[in-house]
Amino acid sequence: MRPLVRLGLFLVSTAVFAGIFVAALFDLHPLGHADPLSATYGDLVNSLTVPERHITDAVTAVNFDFRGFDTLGEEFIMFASVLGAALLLRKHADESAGPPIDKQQGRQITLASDAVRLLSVALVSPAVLFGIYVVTHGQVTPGGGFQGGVILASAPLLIYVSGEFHSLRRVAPRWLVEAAESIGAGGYVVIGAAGLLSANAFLHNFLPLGRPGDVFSGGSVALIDLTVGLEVAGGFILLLLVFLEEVLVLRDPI
Amino acid sequence: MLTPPIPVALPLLVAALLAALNRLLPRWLASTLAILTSAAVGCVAVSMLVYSRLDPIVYWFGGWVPRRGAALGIGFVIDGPGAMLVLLASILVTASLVFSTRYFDTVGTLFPSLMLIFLAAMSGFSQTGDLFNLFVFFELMSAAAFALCGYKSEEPGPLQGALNFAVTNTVGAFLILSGIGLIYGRTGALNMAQIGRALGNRADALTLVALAFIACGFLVKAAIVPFHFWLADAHAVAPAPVCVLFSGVMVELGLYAVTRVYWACFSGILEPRQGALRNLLLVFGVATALLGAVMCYAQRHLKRMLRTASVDEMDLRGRGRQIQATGALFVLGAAGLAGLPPFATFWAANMMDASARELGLHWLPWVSFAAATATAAALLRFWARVFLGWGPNVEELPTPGGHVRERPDTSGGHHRTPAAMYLPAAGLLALGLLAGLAPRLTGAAYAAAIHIQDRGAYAQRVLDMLTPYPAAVQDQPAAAGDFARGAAGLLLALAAAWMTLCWNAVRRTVGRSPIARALVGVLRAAHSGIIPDYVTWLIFGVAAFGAASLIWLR
Repeated sequence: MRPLVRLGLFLVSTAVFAGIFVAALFDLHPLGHADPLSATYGDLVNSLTVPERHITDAVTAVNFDFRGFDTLGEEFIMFASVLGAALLLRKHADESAGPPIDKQQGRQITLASDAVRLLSVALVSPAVLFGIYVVTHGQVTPGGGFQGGVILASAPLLIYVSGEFHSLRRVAPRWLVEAAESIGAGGYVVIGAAGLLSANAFLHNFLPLGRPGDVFSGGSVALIDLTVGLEVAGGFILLLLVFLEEVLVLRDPI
Repeated sequence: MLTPPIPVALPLLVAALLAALNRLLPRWLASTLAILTSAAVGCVAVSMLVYSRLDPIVYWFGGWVPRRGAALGIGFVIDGPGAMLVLLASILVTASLVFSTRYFDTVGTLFPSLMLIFLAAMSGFSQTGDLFNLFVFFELMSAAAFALCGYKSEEPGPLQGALNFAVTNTVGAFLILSGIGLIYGRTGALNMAQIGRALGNRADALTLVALAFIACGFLVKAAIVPFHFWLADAHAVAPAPVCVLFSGVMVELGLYAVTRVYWACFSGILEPRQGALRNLLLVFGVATALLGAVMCYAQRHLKRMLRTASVDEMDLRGRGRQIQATGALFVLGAAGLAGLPPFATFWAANMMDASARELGLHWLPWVSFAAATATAAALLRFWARVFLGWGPNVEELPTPGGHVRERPDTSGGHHRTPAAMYLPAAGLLALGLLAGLAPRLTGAAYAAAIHIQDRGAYAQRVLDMLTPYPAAVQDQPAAAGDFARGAAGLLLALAAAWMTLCWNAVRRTVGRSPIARALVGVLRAAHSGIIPDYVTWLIFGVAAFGAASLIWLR
């Protein structure tokens, strides 16, 4: 298609698209006026999370219990995406691995300044601690495995910023990161299967529920949070490693 | 009830295990584990097929059964078509994994791992009764498929093809998500049976636009014109074992989703306007069949040819699609595509034609006959040229775009097809034949069609745990005319292949006629491989579908 023809067709189609979308939105209930039907689901969930699951964060209850099977799928979407990135960026037969230096010849490499290095090193421990806190408190307060996992993954990134690639590799070797990611992903399925064997329903709770508001509450939801945190942290670090290796280590055939 | 989660959970678990042991497992062990897992899913699918024969299996995750008619959690609803699709997916994945033991020379565990995730996603997609869960598995299927499509990433082509695939399908995913959002805003429900009940009988702009968005999103996956552009690019670059899954089952799953969502959720609001919706979908379907046939006949790149074939073959049976299959297998496959008895495709074509005639669409069987014949002719032409050496060496039809040298998919000698490559192809063809010979095939298919269309019974079964499903339906025998048509299709296809290759006058007229050149030129120019073009066509299709439904379906 010629660019002008394409632009014309695109603009006309998009105008029609926007028109029908807006027409549809006018049929929604006005803002602030809850639909009696959709209010039912919220009320049901709110009335069940504390008495039946001892979970005080209703969003976590929906994500990891009522609709926990969706979240299993979401977690594997991330797992598959990271595996896919590793597959596409793998070392090909005609590439060779070299010492980690910038592939671009003659580029001026500036080391991180002392201020950046100090700040990064100082932030590593708080990042790990805060990540662990968010992962383990998903059933009590907003947060959980996904959010906490991302925070945990930022710790090795800070190490990379403060030092060099080989110090990142020493802290987070690829085999360890791959294992953590896979164990996290597989762990969710194992927890589901445990529910299947103990209560005859996949992802059914199989642990004591604890006291509402306590860290050790929520039954298997707390355990799921841990596996998701492991998977997400491992996935993000693996993604970082794969991209850095593509840029720094692998050489094109010359 | 232990079985319903297994087709999803088992492949995911083994995929994670394989990825964890990436550096430790020898390659043969990883392949064997993956093949066994896929075969196990097939066995579970057979058992579910048997159990769901009279009454669909309803399974609630986490034990959250509906309360006061409202679904709390996610439910699987497994009936004949759903179990059949899980079986088909597992058979094709097993065959592809066997095939790829000889196809790839260097793989770790990443390839089998992603194949198993692909299988789990397709299984969940076929079994679920929840609209958002359907979307989750749509996304999971996409994530695995994008990476598998770009497997040969050392070349620029596969990355480009995978990128086209990823961008267009992600736009489709956005459409589906927007449609789900609109529906949730109206009904507060994600369970399909519950949505069907809550929507009632009132069609307004919100419900029609939501249907248009969801349908168009799934039609992107189904590669229906004008949402089909990505499929040709993806097929041209993806490794053969992955192509088998793309056109063998993934594309069909897109159509299945449209069918399932329409009948479970939207059939109530469109009851008075069913004819208009059918006509709207027919426009898209007929355009796809005709464009697929023409493009296929004008195509020289074999894998691209096979993808256009999948554009007009929408039945649920698996066929061998491997280019390394020997000549005889290839001809048998072409006969299957032409709808020759006793291939299962023959019965599928008969049933489609019968229902078209019932609706007074007497021209429709001729369109599908022509499309199937042209597709088979293109494949036979390829066979005659490659295996029999018919025809001249030079090409008469214009081939703009030039030649791209592709590396062979396998290394080593090519004088013999390895057993791991032709056995899966032969096995799939045998299954296609056996499925056509199965007793009570058409009766079961009709019964499944009646069940899937019964919105009230579906909702009662899922939400009220009642079992009002009707009894089985009688077989529909084929008439002599149907057999004659099947045979005539194959003969016509052979004749057409012979004419284009060996009858110089015809070849020159067709090859050099300005009309043929112009037509092929326009079609090839439209399939440009440029993402902005594809997205523009996609938005155009959605706008056309949405505007047409607001005008004619209200």
